[in-house]
Amino acid sequence: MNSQFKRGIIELCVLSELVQEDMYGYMIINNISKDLDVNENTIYPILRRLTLDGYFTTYLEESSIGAPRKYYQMTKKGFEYYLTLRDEWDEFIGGVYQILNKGGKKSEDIFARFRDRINKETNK
Amino acid sequence: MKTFLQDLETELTKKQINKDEIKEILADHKEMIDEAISEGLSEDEIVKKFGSPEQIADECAAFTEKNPKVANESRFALYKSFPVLSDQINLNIVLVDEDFEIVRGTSSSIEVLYSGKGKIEDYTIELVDETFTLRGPKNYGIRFFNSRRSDLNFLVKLPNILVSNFLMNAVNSDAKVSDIKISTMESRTTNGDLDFNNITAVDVKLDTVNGDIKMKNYNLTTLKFSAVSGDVLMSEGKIEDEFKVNTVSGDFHVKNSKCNKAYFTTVSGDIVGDNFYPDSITMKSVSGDITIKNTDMMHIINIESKKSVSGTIKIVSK
Repeated sequence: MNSQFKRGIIELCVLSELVQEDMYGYMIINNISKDLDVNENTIYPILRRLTLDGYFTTYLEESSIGAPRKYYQMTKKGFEYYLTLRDEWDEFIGGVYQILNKGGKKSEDIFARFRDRINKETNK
Repeated sequence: MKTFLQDLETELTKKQINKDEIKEILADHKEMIDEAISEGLSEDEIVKKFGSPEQIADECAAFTEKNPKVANESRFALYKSFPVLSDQINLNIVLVDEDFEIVRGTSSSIEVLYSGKGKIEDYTIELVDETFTLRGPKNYGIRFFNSRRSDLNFLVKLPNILVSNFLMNAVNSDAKVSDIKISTMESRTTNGDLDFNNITAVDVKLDTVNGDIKMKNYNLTTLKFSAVSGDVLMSEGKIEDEFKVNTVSGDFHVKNSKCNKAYFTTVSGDIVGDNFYPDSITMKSVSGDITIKNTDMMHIINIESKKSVSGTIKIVSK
């Protein structure tokens, strides 16, 4: 997948995670990599950039594993940014499905139609 | 996993990311790796999960370079220019640390130039309904993560038109304003120094706490001036009507100037007039001295009143 496009999606995922609750870095990475095949090295730089841009603030909290954990908290600016991205994404992905579904919704339908068309052409 | 962190440090250093940022990125990774270890992940699993240090450094470097549009530090770069269609504008400047200069340019647009390393995209810089605004980021200084002092300086070039309302609010910024025609101006500064040159204005109100103020070649109708401990030097100019000065401990020096009615009040600062010719003057002082030294003693100054607790008040010949 185009890496710029992928980065945009991961950015939205990071924002979505932090809309729910404050989280520490490892938790965010674990949650996202459960559903998507991405590494820490893709997620962390995005998390950091969003923080530098003022979409998240951070604070430290003691943890059971010893060293304190750095928690990320979404700011109002971050939330507004999330809403904008989310709208853009919904609109985009809606458009993509409009186009994809023109050929039929299920693979069998699409295959059946395609086979009929090829057969007609070869029978001419 | 020590090597991962070492490799990461090497890669980040290669990218010339600054030391504080490197420290932070390393601390973040140490924390995440510790979490992974405590979860019982094997070294192989961890390596897979974290990917290559080189890529992390690459990505982090990409936005530390890209984000602040870095202008040459010593030279100003043009940020934006706003075409002005009206024959007058309002100016609204609200800044904290940034130095700025407002001058008359040669084009018919407002040109905003900047230098330094701050994030210019965080500023409000706009021209809406004849009002030009230059305002620093709102959450300035309270941001936990991004508390670095802004390093931006601005240069605003105005077209040759009247500034009908000029509001200036700055904390530590040093400012220079020159060759501008103003209708009303209000300026509030805390520590920054102000330097005005060649200013024509109707009503001007200047408040400063510690900043020094210099004004040269001025032609005003009224000036209300108040300072706590900043010093002031005014020279070569005239005030058509009222000239009010209120200072606590700052010294006030006015040279080669004329005005109609002067009202000078000081607590402990000294006020010195040097070839200063008001038509009439009211002087009040607690312990500061008020002295006017003039060459032309034929020019009569009508003393409305003078009161002092322990300072001396006098008009003498040079």
